[in-house]
Amino acid sequence: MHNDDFLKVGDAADRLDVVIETAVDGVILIDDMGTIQVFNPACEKLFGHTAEDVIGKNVKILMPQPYFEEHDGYLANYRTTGEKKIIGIGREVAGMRKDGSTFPMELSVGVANQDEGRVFVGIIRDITERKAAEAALRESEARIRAVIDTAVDGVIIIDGDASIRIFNPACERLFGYRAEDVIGQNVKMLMPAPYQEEHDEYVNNYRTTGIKKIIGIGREVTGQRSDGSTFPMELSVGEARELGQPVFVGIIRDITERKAAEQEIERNVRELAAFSYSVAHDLKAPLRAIEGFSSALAEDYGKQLDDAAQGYLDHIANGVTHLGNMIDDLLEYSRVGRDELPFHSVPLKRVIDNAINSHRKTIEEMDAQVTVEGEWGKIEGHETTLEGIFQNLIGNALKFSRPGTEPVVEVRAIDHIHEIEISVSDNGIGVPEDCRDKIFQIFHRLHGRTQYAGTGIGLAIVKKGINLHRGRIILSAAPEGGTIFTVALPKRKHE
Amino acid sequence: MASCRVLIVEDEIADSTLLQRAFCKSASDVDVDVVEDGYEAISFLIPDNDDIIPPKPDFIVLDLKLRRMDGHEVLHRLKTSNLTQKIPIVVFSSSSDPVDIQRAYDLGANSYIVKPVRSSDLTYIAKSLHDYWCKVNCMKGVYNDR
Repeated sequence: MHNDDFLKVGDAADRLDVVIETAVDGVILIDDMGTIQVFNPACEKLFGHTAEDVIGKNVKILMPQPYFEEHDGYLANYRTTGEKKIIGIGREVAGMRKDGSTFPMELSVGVANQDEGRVFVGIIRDITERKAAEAALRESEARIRAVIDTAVDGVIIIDGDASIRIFNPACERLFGYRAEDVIGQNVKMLMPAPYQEEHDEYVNNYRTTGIKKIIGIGREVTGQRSDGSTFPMELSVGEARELGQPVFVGIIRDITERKAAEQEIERNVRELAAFSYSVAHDLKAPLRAIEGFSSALAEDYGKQLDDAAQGYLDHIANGVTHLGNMIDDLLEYSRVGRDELPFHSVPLKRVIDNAINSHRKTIEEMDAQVTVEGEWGKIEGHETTLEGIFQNLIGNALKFSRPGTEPVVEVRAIDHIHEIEISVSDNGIGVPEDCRDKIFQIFHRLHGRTQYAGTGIGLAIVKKGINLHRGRIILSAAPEGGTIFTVALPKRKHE
Repeated sequence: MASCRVLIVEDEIADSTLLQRAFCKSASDVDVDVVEDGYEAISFLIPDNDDIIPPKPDFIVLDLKLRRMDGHEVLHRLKTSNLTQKIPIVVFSSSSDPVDIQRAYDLGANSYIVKPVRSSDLTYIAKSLHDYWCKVNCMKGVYNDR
């Protein structure tokens, strides 16, 4: 507002009156002694005084302490020095209503010249709500901050360039750095060497393609402390937006203890497997004796035996065969868990091709159709065990086919970045829903030996092999009645 | 003189009896000797007195799981002694573990056979061994005593 432009008479004045009368914000005009000259309806609403009550009175009646005391001083200062302490800028002050209650208000003051002298125009906005919202926000921020600060798990937030923004106290304890030492640094400083390059790749990849490789799922990774030592940790990453930019929130859990417990379990499994193996092995010797001598009996003294006796010997022979098969399978089963299997990079396509090849003869005889499709990558694993898994699954798919129908087996792989999911589906007789858990148990069978051969150990061996690779297997029904086995195998041993 | 001489080194009587029977059934002229542990095997083949050199078997069937001296040790000793190292040794073991098989060959075994459960398989094995080592395989002139 220019000093000389204020109060032009005529239409302009009428228009201004309208503005003042209808403005939502309070408009108040005082002279240079502080006397209220204009007090618009919005002010009446804000302060609870009528215009009549206040016009002619000093504006300081609308102010609580300390403003009440100070205002005369401000005006006097201005009159003498010309220094405008409050002109122009918006300030947050407090206003006092007629009933004595106060409220926060934003005040901006302009100065103008009237014929009678200087006038000050105050525009007042009640910011009670805004203040309340700000307080609520601060409270909520404080709460969240409390969560982050007191969390037992590490919370780390990085921006789109992988710079650390937040590093909570738990992180400080986990990694051995103070927050101020790491904020602004690239988060890869918390990772041992091989992961560092990878992380740069992830970040670049995300920047250029928008593909997020690590968001969402929990992964086992390795962290590196300030002293250089490493530790196993579980990391889950979420994405958020801050002012339109992406930020990534990592929750970190130190799983050193858990890993130790897992290793203990693995040791126990190995011991048990070694024990089972040696027991099964020792069982074979008396079995040989039983079989050998009952055969010898039949051969050398057969002529002296009647049909019934011959029949008994046949039963003995059958029992021996079955027992022998169970022992062989038990040996294979316990061999899977017995040794610490060395893991190498294994191309899965080769595993599947070999597994299918082992059933070549059956496939030909049954006129079966076996198809392989999908994305076949590599995983860290033990090739022989993996081959055994798929040999079993494909064998089952062929074996449990519907009589009179050619088996159709589909093997499909999907690459899920951190794991590969392989499904083996067939058009066979299927597995009833209530049996689906039990079929992975050792020696559990759903049919008699005359219907379908086998001791029922195949799937137990499969499950064991998958456990060794930290994978998962689930069984579901195929749409037309057959079975689908879905195996998920992590690409890396430690993720 | 028998045309085929076999030495069986086996501590389980059931196994050695059945194997012996299988050999005798496979041919009419087989001489089978059985010893129950490694020390007996070595003293059978390597005399204390250098003057008496016992006739060498055409092949030895050796079990690995023996009492007192382990079968691997027997294998090693026989294959490192001048007097016995050329005698074909057929390891006959209940283990089908690749580790055990590899170890036997590393120590110089000529052959490795997994003990079958079925006696029909045993008969077949005995006959094959007899036919191969005593008829097909040639050891003429290897030892001065034959």
